[in-house]
Amino acid sequence: MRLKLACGHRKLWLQFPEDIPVNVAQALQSIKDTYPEVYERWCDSKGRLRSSLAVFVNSEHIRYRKGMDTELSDGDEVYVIPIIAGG
Amino acid sequence: MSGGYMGKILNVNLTTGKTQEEQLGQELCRDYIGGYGMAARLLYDRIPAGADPLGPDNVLGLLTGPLTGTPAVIGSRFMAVAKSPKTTGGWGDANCGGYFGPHLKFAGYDGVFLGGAAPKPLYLFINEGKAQLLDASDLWGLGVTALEDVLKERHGKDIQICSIGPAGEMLSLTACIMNDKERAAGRSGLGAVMGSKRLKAVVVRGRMKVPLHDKEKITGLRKKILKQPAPFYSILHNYGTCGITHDSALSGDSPVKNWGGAGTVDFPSERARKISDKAVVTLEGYKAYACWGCPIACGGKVVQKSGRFALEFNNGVGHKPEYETLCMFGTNLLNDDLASIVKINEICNNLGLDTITVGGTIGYIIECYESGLLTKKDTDGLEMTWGNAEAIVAMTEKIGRREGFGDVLADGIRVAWEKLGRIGTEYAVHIEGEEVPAHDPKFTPGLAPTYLLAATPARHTQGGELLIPPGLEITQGDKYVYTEKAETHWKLVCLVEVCNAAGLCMFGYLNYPIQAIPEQLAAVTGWDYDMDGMQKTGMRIFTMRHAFNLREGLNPLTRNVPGRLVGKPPLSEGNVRGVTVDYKTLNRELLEAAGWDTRMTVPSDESLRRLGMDFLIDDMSKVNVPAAAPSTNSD
Repeated sequence: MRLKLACGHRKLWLQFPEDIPVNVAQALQSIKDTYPEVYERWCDSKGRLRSSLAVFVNSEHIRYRKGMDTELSDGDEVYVIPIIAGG
Repeated sequence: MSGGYMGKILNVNLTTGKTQEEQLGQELCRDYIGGYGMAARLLYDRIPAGADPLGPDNVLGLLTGPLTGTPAVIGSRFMAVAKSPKTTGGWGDANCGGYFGPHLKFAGYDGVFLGGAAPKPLYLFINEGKAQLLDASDLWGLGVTALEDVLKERHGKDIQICSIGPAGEMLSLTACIMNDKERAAGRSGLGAVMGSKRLKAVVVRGRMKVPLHDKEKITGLRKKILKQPAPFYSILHNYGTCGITHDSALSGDSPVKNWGGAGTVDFPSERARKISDKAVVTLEGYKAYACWGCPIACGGKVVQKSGRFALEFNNGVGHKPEYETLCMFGTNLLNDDLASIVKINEICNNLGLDTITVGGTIGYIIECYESGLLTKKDTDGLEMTWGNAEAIVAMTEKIGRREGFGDVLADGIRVAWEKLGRIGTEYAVHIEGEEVPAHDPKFTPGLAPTYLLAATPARHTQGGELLIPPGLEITQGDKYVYTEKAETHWKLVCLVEVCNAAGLCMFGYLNYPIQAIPEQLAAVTGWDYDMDGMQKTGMRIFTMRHAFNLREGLNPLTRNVPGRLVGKPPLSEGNVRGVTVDYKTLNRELLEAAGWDTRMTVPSDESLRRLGMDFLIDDMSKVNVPAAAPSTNSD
């Protein structure tokens, strides 16, 4: 299964075995070793998503699915955005 | 005097032309820091209750903080303050970067208070500690761009200028105060206050040093702080705030279709990308711009010499539009023509208009037009339809010049709604006369009490859940659970109060560990600051601004609450669909936690004593504000 993990213009392609279900939390955890600098920006030391971020799957907030437990399908895009006030 | 302060402010009586220096007291500086904190404390005594905001009794202040113009990260800011003509005569303030703030201190003053009203147009020139009022008759009517060019030719290129454009001169409530041609102290309608005083500009020149208690320590701290991981540095450095436009449009944070639409449906990704991040910084001639002493450099210049929306000034070079402008004239109006927004930015900067206010006002007018409440006959022949870039540009210019239908809109939504016979009430999205910035409380419910309770309504820079600094231990939980949020909210609000009052930019606040602020304050001033002390000081500043409003008979709980902002009715599409914000519960718990009356918002004697504000107890016992209806959990 191939997933796209995106933040702004930066896109990370993730590959998972076809027969194992993957949810949003697992997709985020999977970059801990491969993209540690991105992981640190997204997750705190306990592996929790930072409160200044929001996560969307295919442009829909995960709140409308099953949150971090939202199961992903081949080709899904997980989009992480910072919540920040603009001037 | 402690470090960080020049130790004095300049009082100017524009009616008599007299200027007078005033020494700052240590206690005042320690308790209220600077900026709007210090200003609120002083102007509470100096602006009489009931004063006409556009009359000579109002006092306009331009104030820095102790970290402005120092090595602190990022000490570039100053604040404009006065009684606001926009929000029913409540407290008004606006925060601004650029170069004016530090240079006001280099010219010898922590701030300037301008009272009275000049009999003819004047400008104030502070040259190395010497103040003069000079004739501005020949400058009256000039746009900000030409004005700065003329003044620099007259006084030299090493001056910094804070000024109004024609909008401020014409007392438009959409007017702001500008510096460095393109930086705006935008909110609260303070450009009109400056215009009412017939003050065209404040010009400063100076090379004085800001005294530092421990120079070695603050320079060492700066180096240490800038080495910390900064979560938003790269997005702000590479794009500025336009870096979030696309994402915010889709997330539900940005207003879409005058707060009535959904980004995913009405302004989908392919359209949002046209006015966001790469599209902006790949505009011709893009060059980053930094405010004084800033390592982030979120601003930028672009070139637009040709086409329908060619820029008129500076040989076709203008400032790139930032997030608020891109949303208020982009997503909010369904306009994906970036060149038109670059042009609108130039018009607003030159005429001295607040882009949030004007974009919001045009959104109201477009929806009235689209729904048949207005026709071309009303709008000077302009087709005010969604996304009609040419009409939006033309109407912006008309507003800035009070020309034709622009005169009806020049004072913002509330006044326009009154003048037009109260049409389209549902489309008139403002809070007590202040148009709402481009962050939706349905996406960040903690913004609702920020917009509704702070002394200056509808402001995204007054703290809360949208502005969370690194290093702060807070409990957030589910943002759509509305109870037990008071402790976290107050913490976030109070910290921003201190950040603003100290003269710091909130992008430093958002990027570096929050503990850096008390450390820097201590290194610069020599006074002890810690996180607990910051909370208390922030609450004191918040209370002081609030007390100003209470004395005016203003209760924030009786402010109008636009249904669209809180999801009444909720949206059926997009990423904030189904959300209705329970702002009443949020407000009530905040008031209870603060020790304020939950219907009148009057602080208890005990809460005032806790903050060392005993001097307010008598005044607050006499406050006469309308009580709000009691709210319960079932509201």
